[in-house]
Amino acid sequence: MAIRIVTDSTCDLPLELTQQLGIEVVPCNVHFGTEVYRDGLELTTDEFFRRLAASKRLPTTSQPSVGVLLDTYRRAAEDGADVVSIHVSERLSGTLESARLARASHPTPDRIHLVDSKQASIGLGLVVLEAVERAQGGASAAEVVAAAEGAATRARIFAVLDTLEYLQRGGRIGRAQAFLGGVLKVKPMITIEGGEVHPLERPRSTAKAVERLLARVAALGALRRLGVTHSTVPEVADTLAQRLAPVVASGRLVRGRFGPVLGVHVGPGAFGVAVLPETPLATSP
Amino acid sequence: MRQAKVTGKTPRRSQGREGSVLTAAAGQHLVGMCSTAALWLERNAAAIDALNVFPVPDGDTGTNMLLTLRAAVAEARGARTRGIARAAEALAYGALMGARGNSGVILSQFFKGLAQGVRGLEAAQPLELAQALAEGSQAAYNAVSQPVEGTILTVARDASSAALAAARAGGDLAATLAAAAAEAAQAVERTPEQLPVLRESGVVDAGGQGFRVILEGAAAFLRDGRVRHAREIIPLPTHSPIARSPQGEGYGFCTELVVHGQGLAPDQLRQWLGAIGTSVMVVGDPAMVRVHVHTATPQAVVDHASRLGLVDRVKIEDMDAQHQEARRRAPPASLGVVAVAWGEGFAQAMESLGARPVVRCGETMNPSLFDLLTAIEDAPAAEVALLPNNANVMPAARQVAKLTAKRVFVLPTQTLPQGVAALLAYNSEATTDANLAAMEEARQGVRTLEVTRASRGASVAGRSIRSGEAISLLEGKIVAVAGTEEEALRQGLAAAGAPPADIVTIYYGAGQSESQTRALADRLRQVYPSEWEVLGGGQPHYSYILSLE
Repeated sequence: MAIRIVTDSTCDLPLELTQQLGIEVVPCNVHFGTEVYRDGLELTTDEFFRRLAASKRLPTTSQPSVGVLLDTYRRAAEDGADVVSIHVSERLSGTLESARLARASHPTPDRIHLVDSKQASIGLGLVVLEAVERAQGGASAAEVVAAAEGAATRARIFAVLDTLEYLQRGGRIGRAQAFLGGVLKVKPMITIEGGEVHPLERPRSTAKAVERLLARVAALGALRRLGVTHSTVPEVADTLAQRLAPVVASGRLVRGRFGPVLGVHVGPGAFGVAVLPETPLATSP
Repeated sequence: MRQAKVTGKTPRRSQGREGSVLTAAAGQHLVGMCSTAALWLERNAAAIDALNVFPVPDGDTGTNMLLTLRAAVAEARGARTRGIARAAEALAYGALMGARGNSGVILSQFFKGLAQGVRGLEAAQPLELAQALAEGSQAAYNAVSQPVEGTILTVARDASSAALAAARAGGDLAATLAAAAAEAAQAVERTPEQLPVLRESGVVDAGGQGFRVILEGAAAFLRDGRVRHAREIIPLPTHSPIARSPQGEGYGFCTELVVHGQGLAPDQLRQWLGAIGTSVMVVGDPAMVRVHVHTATPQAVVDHASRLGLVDRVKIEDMDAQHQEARRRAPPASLGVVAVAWGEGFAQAMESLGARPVVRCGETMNPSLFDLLTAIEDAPAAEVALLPNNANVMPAARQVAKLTAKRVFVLPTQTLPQGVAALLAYNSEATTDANLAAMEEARQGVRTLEVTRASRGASVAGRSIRSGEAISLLEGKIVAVAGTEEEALRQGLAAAGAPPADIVTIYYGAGQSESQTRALADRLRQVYPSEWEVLGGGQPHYSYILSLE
């Protein structure tokens, strides 16, 4: 039986890859005031960061509407496919809540399977890629769900931000609240664990942050997949990708970019590495 | 399925002296109610956005509800139907497709329930409309996996109950909706009693307020019989719960006290408090005044009040801690940090990095044992890392560790930059062991260059120094003597090796100007291609303290 993998646009996977792998990416929305743009479809990442720099009022974001998710599930049903719908952490977004309502309105809810990735950005992307690989290998829907849920417990993103201001203004700062550098210039490093944002450390320069990020990844043991992402600093992402390439098997490192929706929360100058270890990690820090 | 009493008939307005009274709501009336509601919501959306603290303080509840309602109205207008059942279905479909944000999703489910409530009807009598509101409210509850009271859900439920009561008492449509809107307004006021995060932020629930505005708009349509321009019914809050903490000041301290005295002036006190805090409430008379304020500096409030009279019933609550607790967030830090600082700039830098409290020292004064002990007792943790930040404070720091029941770890920070570096490595979530290891490593990763003027002539390590000469100390050892501070600084940097560090932070002292220090940093940047940062340390005696990382 065919399986359709659905995710949302916070997965930050490149369009070519999702198209090639047949992943359905449901767009979240970015709002500049009352203007609403569907992530990736009506607003490119470059346009977004240009507008972000020019906009006095911080844009906001919202989850895909129930209707859009329902349409996606209906199309899958028409094709006779089971759906495994993998989304951004429920603690950070209402996307899964929308997906649940969409499933409830669907004629065959038993064939819609929802997975909380407990991650965001390329961390979600890695969970999605893991599910796709199982689905392509002929696994059943239940097996794909189990693989995705397993990956969700192991995946972890580490991100270095230029400032926590955006995360704070967007209300997603969680435990990192008390972690602001205050008057000092710092590049706060955060992670998403248990579905929430946690502070890790406060390196004082990009160069030091890159070294700390690489040191953290090196300490994790065998990795099944890696992801590298950034908002407006491709050169830093290039450095990370080059230095991390030997750490995973070839073809297991995916490059992404914080799209508009996550861009609202991480701001310009952010970069990050997501890992999918072979075995679960101990809790940090 | 219920039957409409007026099935097949066009709903009529009975003629009266005051105008017409609508006896049953048909499709166009429902759409009119929602159109008016959208106008009212548009007028009030910014004020509602500013209230938003739950579930995430992202400040867009009003806008999200407005966009959802507009999508609903657009769909229903396009459907051009006279029957209320079809109109409600169109509204529900439009809302479902256009729902934005959590509040939008809940609103869309409300419309879904409303549509179920009027299914099969051409027009709805007051009781039928009230029952449909109740179905909408129930559908909204069902939409949320973990319903929370004190939100739009509570407001919708209470409002629909009031509508049912009004309709059963024989109220017409306008009266039924007016009752719902009035009760919604009451219910909104009650939300802070039901949801702690609202109480702590001093706001009512944003989604509930949005729902109330929708009902007010709908009621206005029924009262006036046409789409009316909106009224601004919610004033923009004087403080925004979100904007209040832009620099990571957190939510501050809820501070309450009572002052007894003679000739107290509540108005003056209110004005004074307004300058240092938010949510200011001052009530009383010249003999006794009760004070409530949210502020980052509760001690200043107590000090000020005690100059006015006799102070009692002082209550200071850390809203940061409450806020986190309310959201089942971080447990109290396992390790707290107490730091000693000279200069307000250093003190604030250390506070911003998590030191609680910072012991502030004057020009010549080292902290007393009592100061250190008080600070450690005040620290919101049972285990405390103490950063003396000066070699002279080390003995007292070691001593104080023996005087308290708390576990005190003295980190041997000998300079202010070492203290800042240690705090940069501090993570309130990490374990004590992990923190102590990281902080000690960070302490060792920074070198300190201090520039001052000799207060008297001396001979140190074979070097004779005249009073008033500039000297620089690297890690506490004199490495250069020169006529000017800049020259001493340059020689000191040369002694530190080239390049001296990746990042050099210059903290300028109490007597120095920021612009001159920035100009100095620009000159030094020509020589050393490090990252240079200039901050006001405010420290006495030392013109410049440099942190070399």
